[in-house]
Amino acid sequence: MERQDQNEIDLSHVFRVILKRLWIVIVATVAAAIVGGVFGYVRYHDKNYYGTTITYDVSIVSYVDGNQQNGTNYSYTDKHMTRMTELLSEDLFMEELMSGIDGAPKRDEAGFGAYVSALKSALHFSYNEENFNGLYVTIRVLNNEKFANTLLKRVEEEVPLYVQEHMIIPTSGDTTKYQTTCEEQSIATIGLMNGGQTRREAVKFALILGAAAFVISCIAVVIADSTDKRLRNYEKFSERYGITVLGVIPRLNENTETEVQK
Amino acid sequence: MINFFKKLSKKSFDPSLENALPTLLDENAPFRVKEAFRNLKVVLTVTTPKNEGGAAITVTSSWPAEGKSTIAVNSAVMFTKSNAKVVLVDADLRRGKLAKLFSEKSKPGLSDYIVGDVEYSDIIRPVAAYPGLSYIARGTKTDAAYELLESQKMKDLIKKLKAEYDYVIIDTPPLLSVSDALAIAPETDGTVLVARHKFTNEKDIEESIDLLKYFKANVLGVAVNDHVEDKLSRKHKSGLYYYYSDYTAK
Ligand SMILES: Nc1ncnc2c1ncn2[C@@H]1O[C@H](COP(=O)(O)OP(=O)(O)OP(=O)(O)O)[C@@H](O)[C@H]1O
Ligand SMILES: [Mg+2]
Repeated sequence: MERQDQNEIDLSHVFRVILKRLWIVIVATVAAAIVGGVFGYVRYHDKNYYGTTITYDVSIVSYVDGNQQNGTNYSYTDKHMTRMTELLSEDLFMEELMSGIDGAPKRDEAGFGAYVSALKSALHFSYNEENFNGLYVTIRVLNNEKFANTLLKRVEEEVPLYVQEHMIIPTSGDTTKYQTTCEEQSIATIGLMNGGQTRREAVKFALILGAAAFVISCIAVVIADSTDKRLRNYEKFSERYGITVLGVIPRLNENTETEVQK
Repeated sequence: MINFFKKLSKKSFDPSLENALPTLLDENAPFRVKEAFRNLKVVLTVTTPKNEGGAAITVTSSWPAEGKSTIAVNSAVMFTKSNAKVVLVDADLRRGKLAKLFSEKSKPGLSDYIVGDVEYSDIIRPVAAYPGLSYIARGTKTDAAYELLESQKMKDLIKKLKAEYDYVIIDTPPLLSVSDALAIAPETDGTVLVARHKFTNEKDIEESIDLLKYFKANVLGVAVNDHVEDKLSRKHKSGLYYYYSDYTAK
């Protein structure tokens, strides 16, 4: 019980110390928040990502003697779809896309590797993990809407062909053949993908740095105060050391600048 | 960073204060200040043991410029208001400024008397402005202050003064700088340790008290000087001073 009382007194003491130096805490917090906001803004204001996500329906159709069979379609599995995204992520497919882009370097030409990596980072492949019948291609290009459109065109041209060509299902009988179909579900258009991000990031960094500065400055103020070993609260002092306080003489002339400093 | 915060909380020592004169209050001093000295007087009257005539009180502190002389002078004046006969002794043989405070010369004074250059009657100076108050100036500056103060002649002087006055108030140099006060304090009936608010380190106060007790001085307690109330924590305090200031404010 006594111990708790002690803690409560300490807490209110800490609170009073912080209140006394509140301006330091406020200045530190505001300054850090401004720095954070500026940092967030500078970092993101010129980063606009253009792109879209294209959804493809993929399925296996079976043919008997050249006639499509209804109802006997096979379905892809997780393994197949993983393989499909892996195939699309390979250099070979990037090269395929590049073959139709004006100015893209050819294999053995300077900058080929870099271009391939750039394309790889601009494209992301995934699939419908519930039914394995949907393929998603996400295009994401930094600060270049035109290139995003070029890339979209190339993806639309090449992805269905590439998938149909490379996802080959071995035939089980003589008469039945399987073919993969890959069709774009709806028309995709390029747009700004990260609208409002600059503001969000600026606010985020302002909040993070502001909060950090608030906590740190509070701690610093309390530590700085605890290093002050001068007589300040004589009542506490007298209680703690059992020393009688005979009298308390106030500052003789509170208006004049006779403050003693040490 | 740490230094920045240190600067905010502890400002550097102002050396000009060491050479400043103690403050002698006049009738126009603010009520709260007079009241504080009055309360100190009341407490001292009660706590100081009285035997064989008057009471001798040593006023000392840990370090220079904490307000020893200011408290000694104003307490002495306060005692005269109770119709007491008071003598103020400047036992700071190195830098005492009491004579200067009363616009007089320091010589002849305490040191000259102990050395034997002058007579008792030569060093007692009445203060015209305060009936009942006399003082003994520092005398010729000396570095052998401790030896003079521990002498039998000094002890006899204290006895003689006690026989003649109701209160003998002895102003001394700072304890943690020089040992002079330790020669006097045990010879008096009580010792007041002055500590300056937001200036004196708490551990120095403790050290001074230990030192005084070790030398068998009767430590009456601490007088907190130059107290400035914290604006934020201006909670209600008990005690006469606060009671009266509240009383008059209404
Ligand atoms: N309560 C007070 N309010 C404002 N100023 C004060 C107060 N007490 C002392 N002072 C001032 O502080 C200075 C030092 O005071 P004082 O001479 O009484 O200290 P001291 O302890 O006797 O110093 P020393 O050790 O040098 O003799 C003086 O200028 C005095 O006027
Ligand atoms: Mg002095």
